[in-house]
Amino acid sequence: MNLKPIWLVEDSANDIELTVAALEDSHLANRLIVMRDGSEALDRLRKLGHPGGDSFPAVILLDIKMPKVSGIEVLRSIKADPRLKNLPVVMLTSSREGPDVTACYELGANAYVVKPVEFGDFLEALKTLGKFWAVLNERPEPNNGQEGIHAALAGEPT
Amino acid sequence: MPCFALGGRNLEEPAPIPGEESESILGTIKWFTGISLSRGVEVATLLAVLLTACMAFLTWQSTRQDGEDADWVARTHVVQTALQATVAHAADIETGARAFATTGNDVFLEPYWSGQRAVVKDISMLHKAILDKAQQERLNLLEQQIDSAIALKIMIVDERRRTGAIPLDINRVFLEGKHSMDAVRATVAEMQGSESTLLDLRMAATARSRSRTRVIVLSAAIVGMAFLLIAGFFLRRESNHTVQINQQLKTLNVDLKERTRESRQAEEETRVLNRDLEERVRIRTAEITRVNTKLTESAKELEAFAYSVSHDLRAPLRHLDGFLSLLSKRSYSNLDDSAKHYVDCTLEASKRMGQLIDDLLQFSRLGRDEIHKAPVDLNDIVEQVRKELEPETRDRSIHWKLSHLPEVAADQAMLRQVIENFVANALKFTRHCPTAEIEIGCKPEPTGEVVFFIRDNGVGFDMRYYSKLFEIFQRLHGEQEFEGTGIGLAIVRRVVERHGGRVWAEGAVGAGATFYFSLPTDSSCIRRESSELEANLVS
Repeated sequence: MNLKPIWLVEDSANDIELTVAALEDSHLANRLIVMRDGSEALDRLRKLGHPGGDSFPAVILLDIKMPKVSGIEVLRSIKADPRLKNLPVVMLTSSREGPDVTACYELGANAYVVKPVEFGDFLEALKTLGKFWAVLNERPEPNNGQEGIHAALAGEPT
Repeated sequence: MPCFALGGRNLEEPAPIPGEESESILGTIKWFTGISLSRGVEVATLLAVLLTACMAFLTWQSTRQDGEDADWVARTHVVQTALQATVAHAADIETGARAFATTGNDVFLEPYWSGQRAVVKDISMLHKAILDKAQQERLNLLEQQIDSAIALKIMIVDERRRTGAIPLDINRVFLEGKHSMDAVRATVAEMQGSESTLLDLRMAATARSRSRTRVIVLSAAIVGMAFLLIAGFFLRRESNHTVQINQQLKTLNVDLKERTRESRQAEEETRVLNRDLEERVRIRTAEITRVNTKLTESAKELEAFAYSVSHDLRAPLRHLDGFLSLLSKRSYSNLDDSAKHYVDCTLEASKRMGQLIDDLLQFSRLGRDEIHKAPVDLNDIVEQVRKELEPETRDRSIHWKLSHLPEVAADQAMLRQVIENFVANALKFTRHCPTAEIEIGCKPEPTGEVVFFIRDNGVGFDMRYYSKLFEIFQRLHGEQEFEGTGIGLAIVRRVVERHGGRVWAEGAVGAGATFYFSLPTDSSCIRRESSELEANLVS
């Protein structure tokens, strides 16, 4: 079974570790690909579906506050690209303060989640997210059948 | 004329008080005061002019009469003289003729001839001078008598010349001559008497006419003067009136000038004040703008601070909680009892810190968020809050006493937090009561606000610490006794004050507490006058 990976774009090592623990706890079979900042994410997004690039993810979990390129800039790039705009993007943030919620929805974010302070709640939240976006949610195939080509390429021994 | 002189004086001099000096003169003609001023002057002046014309006519006539009288006197004088001359000349003729006839000497003929010439002249003069008819008839008789007397003389003179001797009948002729001279003298005497009588009669008539004229002229003068006096009175009245009006006008003028000056001064003052005011408004506006800018900056800083607190403090807290949770989840069994206790305490503390941060953020948000006023049903809110807190109240004995609350114009979400905090507090502080009694009600105040209250029979509080009650992070009870962050009542106060209301409380230790909050009536929807309400909502 060709399960789509889950992308996590997050600069905080602690958060990455806790997220990994939470997803492990939810027993999802999808592979988790972690990127440490926005520029790395943009690089890999550009190569997405091309030879040597990643396959299309089931969902991108995108932290807002990151050094260099912020989550909002990454979101803007994804939603402005006709090839990528159908990718589900879930914004993760530590607070509900600030103009972020509105800005993100205006840019086309698919969800906006405030990380619960209590770990129990955090665990629950990530379980739900993973289950929903990686398992339940259906979305249109990427344009130009590129995912298919990429899948074929990926299937070949390299 | 005295009257005009009087009027002139009055025109020049200030008017004496009316009806004082002139009272005696004017008292008799009081009724004139009823006549209109200009009419009175017109009539009186016209009558005075008519009377003056009449007087002029009479004077002229009198003068003419005087001339006539002088004529008459002169004429009478001429007649008397001529009559005497006639008698004298007739006597000359007589004497001359008699002497010549007696002597025949031509010397005596000279008076005879000159007498004849003079008598002709005299008679002709008399004819001219005498106008009276009876006198003229007498003159004719006289002329005949003289003619016949002369004719007799001529006869004897001629005879003496012709004969050269004394005529024979000289005695008879002399006698006849004497008789005719006597007749002439008698006629002349009669004529002289008549002439004198005529003169006397004429003089008497003239004297009568004179005295009549005098009376008429005098009366006319008196009446004319009276009319002129009346005219003068009217003029004086008018003049008094004019003087008074002038005086009033002068006073009014002075008044007007004074007022104009005052008004100008006031205008100037207003202008200065306006300028001052504008200047002050400008300065104050600049100040306000400056303060406003500062405030806006502060608000922005505060927002940034809140965001930072929210984000930067929450993240490490989450990690703390996360890893501790993982520790207790995955390795709890490996820990000894004191380690387990430490982990539990740390987890508890992190939970509490999370709560504090959330409350702090909420408090800061309530200070910044705009208020969206709309009609709010407080009864609904109370019901929702009670339902929400049901898990806590399920196993407790609580007696609710709820009055119907009026609709108010407020921010629904904010007001809900107020009710939530009050009800949660009431439940919290009655936790140890066998039966909690919680009353929610309201009372409209005449001060233009409506007051709500929540009363409980809980532990109450010490009024000595009242000043700390609504302050942030201030608590009147121990953490072990009653949980809480000390932010709830600070939030309540902030919301109510931002709505223009007040909060206060009464309580005593162990005797419950009553919390009050008021909202201005303009935000209350108690329907006294719907139009007023609408106006308030719009504003």
